[in-house]
Amino acid sequence: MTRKENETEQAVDPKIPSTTKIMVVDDDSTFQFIFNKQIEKFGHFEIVNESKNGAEAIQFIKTALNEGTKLPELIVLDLNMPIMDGWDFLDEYGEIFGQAETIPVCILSSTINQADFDRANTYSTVKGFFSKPVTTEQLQTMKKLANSY
Amino acid sequence: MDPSGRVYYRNKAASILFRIQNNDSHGVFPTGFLHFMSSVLEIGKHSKKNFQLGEEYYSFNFCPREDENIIDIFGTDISEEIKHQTYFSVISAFSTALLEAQTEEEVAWTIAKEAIARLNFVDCVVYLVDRKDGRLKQRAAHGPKSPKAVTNSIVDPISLNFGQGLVGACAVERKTILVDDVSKDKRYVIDDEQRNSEVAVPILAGFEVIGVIDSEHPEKNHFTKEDVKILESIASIASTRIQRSRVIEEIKHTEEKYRSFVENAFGGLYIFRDNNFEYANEQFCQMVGYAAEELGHPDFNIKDLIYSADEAAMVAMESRGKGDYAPKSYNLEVKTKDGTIRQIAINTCVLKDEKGEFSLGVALDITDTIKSRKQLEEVIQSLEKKSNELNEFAHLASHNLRSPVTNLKGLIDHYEFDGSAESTNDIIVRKFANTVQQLHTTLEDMHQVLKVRANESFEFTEIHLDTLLEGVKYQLSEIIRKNDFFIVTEFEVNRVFYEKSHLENLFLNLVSNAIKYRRPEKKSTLKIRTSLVNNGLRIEFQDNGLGLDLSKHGKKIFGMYTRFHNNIEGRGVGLYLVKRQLDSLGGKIYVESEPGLGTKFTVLLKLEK
Repeated sequence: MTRKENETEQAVDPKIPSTTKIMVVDDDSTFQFIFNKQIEKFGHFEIVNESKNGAEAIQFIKTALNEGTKLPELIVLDLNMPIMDGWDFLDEYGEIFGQAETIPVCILSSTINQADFDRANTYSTVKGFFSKPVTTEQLQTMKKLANSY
Repeated sequence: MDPSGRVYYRNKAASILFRIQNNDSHGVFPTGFLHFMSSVLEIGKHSKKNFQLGEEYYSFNFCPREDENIIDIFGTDISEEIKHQTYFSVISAFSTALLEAQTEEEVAWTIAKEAIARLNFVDCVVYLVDRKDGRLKQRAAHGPKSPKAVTNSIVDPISLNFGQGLVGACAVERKTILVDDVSKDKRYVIDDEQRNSEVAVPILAGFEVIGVIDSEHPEKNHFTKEDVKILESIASIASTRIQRSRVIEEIKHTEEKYRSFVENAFGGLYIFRDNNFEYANEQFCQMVGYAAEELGHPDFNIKDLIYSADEAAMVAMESRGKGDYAPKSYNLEVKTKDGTIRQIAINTCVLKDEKGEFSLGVALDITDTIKSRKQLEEVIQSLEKKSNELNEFAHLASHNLRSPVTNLKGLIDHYEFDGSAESTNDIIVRKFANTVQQLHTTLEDMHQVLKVRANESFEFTEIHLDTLLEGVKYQLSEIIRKNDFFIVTEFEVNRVFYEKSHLENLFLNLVSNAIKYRRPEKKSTLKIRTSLVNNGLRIEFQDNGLGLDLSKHGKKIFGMYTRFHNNIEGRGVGLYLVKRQLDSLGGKIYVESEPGLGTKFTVLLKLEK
């Protein structure tokens, strides 16, 4: 897992399906608002769920699995949240899927703490680690990540 | 021969011995010879007597004839035997005297005095090699050099180098030097007055010369071969005596050295034998507070001394007397005579002597070392804790500052400056305002947290808890009223002395938390109780609100920026601050909770007396 922030807009493969369904787990409503605005401009993504913490996100995934509805193709996850934070979410998420193919997770957080980055590396489900604010390059990388799994 | 001295028959030897010219003539007899012969004739019994004739000694058998006034006399030369007898009696007298001499000094004086008394010398000086400068020093002298021999002192004792004078030559050659006429010997050195003959005999210890016996005589040719033989024998006996005294001195000296080492050793030393302290040095006695006699008393029980012993010490002590001779190290808690407990480190080994096995122990008092190590560990721990806290604070603070600022930047990016999307712009401005407020709050929180950290000086004032609670309720009056919130108090203790701002913050946070996390569908109550515990105050805050799953969040509840509920205004700083403030004054806070069953916070305040 590496940060690939230098990739340009041209790097997006035109053959890749145009919209990727994503879920965003973040308690910050202002961030959710801004992220929505960025997605609107960027295209390629469709936000199918917004959860305010890990518990809500787990609930959404469990419901989707039970009812057989389509799961998102990428989870964008904040770390510092009330009730169930990003780490607790990753633990429980790992328990739900076990060794099975999972939806890739991208961490998107304000943290600039190396310890958080190292800890994220220990989760096989975490495929990307990005620091806020979100840039267009980061969105492109996320898009590529989502399509490669 | 008849009593008149008339000789009837004599052989040739007798003629020469008694200078008899012809038969029937008289000879020359030694004093008392004729008188003794008459008395033997009168008694009429065989008799034997020795007489000296010139330099020689003879033994005569006097045999009176029966019924005749004539006696037969047979003589034998016994000069050699007599000389031997003299030799042995002198040596034996010397030996006996020397055996009584214990020190070098006594040995030297014995030689000098006995030589005069038994050997017919006029002077005798004993030189011993001085072990400091290696010169031959006069140690004893009898004769003109020590007019008052009783005091065992020498007037102006001289020292000679090896090779100097006859004495020095004797020491170099390690051989007796006998000079019959000193005027013909260049090596002669005048001591107190000119004399004519001299003998110098070395005292040897192996090949080493340790001294010289020297004697001079006014007459030329005074010293005989017998004198030399006797002096050499004496020198040999003297040597063993001197060496013995030196060894004893050495042992004494060494023993003193070790004794002083043991007694002044840095640590305590003891010998433990048959369940008893056979020896304990001063340090050990001071360490345990008992005198050596008390420790050594047969009634003294070592169990009175050992306050506690850990597993390793028990194993080590019990292994003694069971064939385990390996050196052991262990620590003990020792109860001294005055009852204080000291930490002692013991190193022991088992030794053997003619009385059997015993253990030799070295004891070190490590109480202070342990104490200072503990203090050091405490300091390190507190520093580590502080450092971790600061680290955590820095990361969280940076996170909580970055988030709103990032948001502000994002909002600006999406603001339509041409006014084309008024409804979006309205949302952005509202969110902008919220975020600025959030940023402000974060900065305020940081200020509060840093204030607690800055080790401010505390002021203990008299506080009435009911009054304090009224103040808090007044601050929260709007939400209390709006939510129909109910507070019950049971103040066993109402008046305390404490830092007022801390107590206010505690009540404000725990009361407002209880309101924030109430169960909206239920009538919400908070019960506050105070009671006195061991030199402190217990305050309990029991609510019937949402509660928490402590198995999941227990560790985080007092952490910074930890929130447990959505959609409730909480910044995750309140309980963190409360905890820090309590820590700073030695207080404690505990929480008990279950989801749906409410939460109980228990606070313990350390009160000043």
